[in-house]
Amino acid sequence: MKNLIKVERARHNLTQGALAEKLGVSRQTIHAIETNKFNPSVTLAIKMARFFEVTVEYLFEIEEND
Amino acid sequence: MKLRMLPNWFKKLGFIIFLIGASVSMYEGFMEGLTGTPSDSGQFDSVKNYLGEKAIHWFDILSILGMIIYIFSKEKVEDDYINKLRLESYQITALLGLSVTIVLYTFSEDIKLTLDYFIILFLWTYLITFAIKKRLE
Repeated sequence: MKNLIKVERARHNLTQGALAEKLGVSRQTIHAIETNKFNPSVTLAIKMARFFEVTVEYLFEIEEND
Repeated sequence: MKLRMLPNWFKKLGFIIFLIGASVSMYEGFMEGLTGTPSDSGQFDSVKNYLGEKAIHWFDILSILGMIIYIFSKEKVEDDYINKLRLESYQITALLGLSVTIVLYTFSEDIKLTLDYFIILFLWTYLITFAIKKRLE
C-alpha cells in the first residue's frame, strides 16, 4: 500500500517526531508507515487523514499486488 | 493480539532490581577475573558469609526477576507497531532458543546445562532483538 504521509508531513512542515507526538504514536511507527514497512490500523489511518484534513483514500492507495 | 503490560515506570524498577541482583551475583566472577584469584579460594565469600550459602542463588533470581519486569513494561509510547515488533521479537527468540537447543543436543547428546543458561539466553535474546528492531526498522 502506497501512502502520501511523507508528502503531507512536509506540506505541514513537521518532523516525524512532531507528527508522532500529535497523533499519539511512536516516531518509529511514522517511519515504518512512510517506508511501507507497516500498514496502520483503520483508527490510525482515519486519525492521520483527519489531522491532514484529507480523505483516507487520498492518503493511502492500494497497489495491484495488495 | 493485545498484551497486558506493566506501566512504563516499571522499566526503571526492573532495571534497578536487575542491577542489584546482577552486581551481587556477578561479584565473585568479576573479582576472579580482576585479581586472578580463583573464586573457590574463599577470598570473595563476603556475601555468602554475611547472608548465607544460598544468597548468591537468590540474587541470581532477583536479577532474572528484574529483567522480566523490564521486558513486561510498556514503552513510553505504546502502539500497534511497537506491539508488532514485540511479537516478532518473541517469535525470533523462541525460534533461536529452539535452534540453539537442538544444535547443542545434536553435537553433544550428554550435554548438561543448568536452567539458568536457558532463562538468560531467552531474556537477553529477546531484549537485544527488540532493541535492534526498534532502532533499525
